[in-house]
Amino acid sequence: MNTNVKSGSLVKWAVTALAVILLPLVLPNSYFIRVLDLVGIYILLSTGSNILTGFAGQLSMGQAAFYGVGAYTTGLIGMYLGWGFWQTLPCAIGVACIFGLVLAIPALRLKGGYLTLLTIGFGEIFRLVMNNWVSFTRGPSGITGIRTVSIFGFELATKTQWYYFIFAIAALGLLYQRILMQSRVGRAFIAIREDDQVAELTGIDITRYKIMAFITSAVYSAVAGVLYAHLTGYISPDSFTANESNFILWAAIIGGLGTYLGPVVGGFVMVVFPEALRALGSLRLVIFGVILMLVIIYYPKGMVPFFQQLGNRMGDRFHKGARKPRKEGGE
Amino acid sequence: MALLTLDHISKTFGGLNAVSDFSMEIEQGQICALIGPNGAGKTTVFNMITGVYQLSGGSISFDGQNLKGVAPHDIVKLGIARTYQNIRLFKKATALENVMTGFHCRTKANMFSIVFRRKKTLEEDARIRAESERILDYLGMLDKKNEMAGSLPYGHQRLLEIARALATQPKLLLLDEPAAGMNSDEKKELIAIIQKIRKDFDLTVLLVEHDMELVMNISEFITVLNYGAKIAQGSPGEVQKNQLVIEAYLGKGERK
Amino acid sequence: MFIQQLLNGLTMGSIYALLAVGVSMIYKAMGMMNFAHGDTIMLSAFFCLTIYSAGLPLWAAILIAPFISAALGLCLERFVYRKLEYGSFSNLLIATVGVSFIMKNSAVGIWGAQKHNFPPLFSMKPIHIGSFTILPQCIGMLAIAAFFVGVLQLFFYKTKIGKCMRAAASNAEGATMMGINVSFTRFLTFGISAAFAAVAGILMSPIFYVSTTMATNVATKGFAAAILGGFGSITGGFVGGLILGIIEAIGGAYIATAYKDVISFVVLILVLYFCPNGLFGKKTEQKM
Repeated sequence: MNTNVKSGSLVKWAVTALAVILLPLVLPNSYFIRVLDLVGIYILLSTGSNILTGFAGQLSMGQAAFYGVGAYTTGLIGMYLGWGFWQTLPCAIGVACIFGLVLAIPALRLKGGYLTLLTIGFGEIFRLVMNNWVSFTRGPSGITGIRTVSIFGFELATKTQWYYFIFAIAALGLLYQRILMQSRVGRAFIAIREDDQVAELTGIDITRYKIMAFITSAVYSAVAGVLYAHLTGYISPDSFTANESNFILWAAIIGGLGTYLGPVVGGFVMVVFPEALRALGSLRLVIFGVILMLVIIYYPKGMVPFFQQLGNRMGDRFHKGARKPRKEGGE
Repeated sequence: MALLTLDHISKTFGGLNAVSDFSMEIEQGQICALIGPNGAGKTTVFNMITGVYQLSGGSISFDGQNLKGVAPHDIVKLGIARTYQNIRLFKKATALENVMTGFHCRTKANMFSIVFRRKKTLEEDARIRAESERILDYLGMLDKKNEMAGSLPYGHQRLLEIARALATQPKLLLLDEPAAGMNSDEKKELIAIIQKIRKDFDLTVLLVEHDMELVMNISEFITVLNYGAKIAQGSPGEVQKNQLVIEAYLGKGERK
Repeated sequence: MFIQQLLNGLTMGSIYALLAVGVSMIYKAMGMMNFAHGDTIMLSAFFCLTIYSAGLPLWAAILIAPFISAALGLCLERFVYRKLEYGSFSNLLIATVGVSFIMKNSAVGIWGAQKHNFPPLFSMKPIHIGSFTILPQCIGMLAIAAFFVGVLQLFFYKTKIGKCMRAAASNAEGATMMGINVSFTRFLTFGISAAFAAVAGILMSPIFYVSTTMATNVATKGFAAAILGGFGSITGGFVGGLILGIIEAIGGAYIATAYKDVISFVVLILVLYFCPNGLFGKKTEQKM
């Protein structure tokens, strides 16, 4: 049984990896690949949201600020110091840690709606400062001319190259999410989500773990921001609005809060649907909104649990294997 | 020396005395009970011992250490675990995960070691998984390990709370109304379990309970609280005969 | 200058006060944060403007618009939020965000993204008192806000249905057992809250013009004001709104106008951190 399940899941991973690798080759033009690049960035963003909100239970509607922290650190360092990706990435992660901590400290005391308002306030303050501090950030006109990424002298030039780069990082992000959530730390996060007072009385230093959740989430979002800045070469405060924060949280919810693959589904839905509905003109966002509302009303747990149920009902082996934690297989 | 010493502790909530000038000692290995009518302050005492409430006065020492200013999670690490009057499990986690969470304060893995010291992490994880399964097996609910805690039947949820508490490897176990909502068969079973875990896990047990039959059956020492103050203490036999206790429970003059 | 800014602050403060009352009503009754409140304001302004443009007199438009908004609020409660059964906090919250998203984009689709003029509600002739000048709208808006909040207070404390609504808000289960139709009181709460949004929207329109973005940040500030006054209290929300308006005006004048919005959000965070029960709330120890 053990080898069966192991090889089964190995096949599953191999097929998934192959599909991800081949996907750009079957798409007709670079517009689609550009959309996929953004999907990859959204996967990272919603993974960050998933860890903080889905696993640790801290509802954040200010994720765009962390996203912006990554993008602006990249933009500003590029503008003032001329550094490239490999220097800006660690800097952005460092700055994100500080911002995560800054938000976490007041957040420790708050729950529910109060916490949400705090995160909204935090996000708006970040955006407004980026918008108004013209002498430092160039304000609403944004920062242009951010260089692309070069890996050992090889510059990412095409959207397809970017696709592989972004998806490799997104895959690492998803892998780490999984490892983290199946570990002692993940169990502490889940305990805090379920009942933080009892978590504390079960021996978990909730202050420390809440801070960790905020920082982890901030780092995920900031890495997405760094990638976004290098990918598009241009950033402005308009990309990091409250609306963007809502979209990021939405992605995590639509996919399924607290599921490992929710961010993938959510990221895909939130990026691809608005593009696919483009033909509908000015009504497209209205219809998109209606679709999201229907999902939330009828599948409040998100798409991943829904697919799993569907898969189970159809007796599909593939989904059955994926539902059980892999470790249980050996019994 | 006593394992747990409550030395003239008191607690006020906005001028209201919930517990006043209360002292109690618990010897290593005893099963003790804290009883009293509703609202007598029993759960408040539990919350003071576990560090949820700051003391308004007095001091608590456990295993020779003063608990003043020690954070609740550090108190757990020192060896005090508890269950709750209204069951409070991590509902959307499996039974096994609930117990494994109990091992938190006895394990070390952190955000970096799970990647960079992967082998050690996996070993530690496998160890506590096995130990958690052993605890579940010990309490006769290993077959429920992959079920969501929130969907377990009531009796199993009560047991799972004990399992999670045992996972923290306590010296002192505080049980807050463990028999609430149980029928007489389940209560008998519970008595057996409490006695068994005391022996096998080398525990001292303090319980708050309303069910007098269970309390008299199991406890070696009983303390009686009323209106936040101690009115009696002693062996079950002594407490049962105490006039103040009878009055507190039945009201004055209602009994010959 | 200081007094002048204080007076200016009262104008915006009146709007925040109306919003604070609207959002805290819903928070108290259903435990949900209604992030679509700002968009109800915006839509109300458009309703009013559209009716006025259709040829009806302004006073008629002003009277009709709040009823349309209230109807909209009632529909949303009945067909969206009730479907979620007030279960998961995060889903309810994101549902209001979704409603907000749909309302905003519908408005863009119907009325376009440009700004529309709105006829003035008050005389623009400033009143001079000593060395200060007050625009009639400042006094008018404050008076209107105070009037509506007063009426609401009376409604909640003097009428039977108002008392039922308060009972349902403080303890839904208990109220149900007393024979109160909690579902209906929630329904009504939404309607009243939306009508308050309409009043705020109409008052705002002459100053900020009517556009799809006129209330983007304003709703969040309504929450800030509500928390400042202690969430859930009507008079608290009113006072909180005025205080926020004044802080914003004075901060904008003495620090930097560009950072006016930042100031309100910083106030929000400071209040959340130091006195989450509001400026007048008492500190309570968390009970188990």
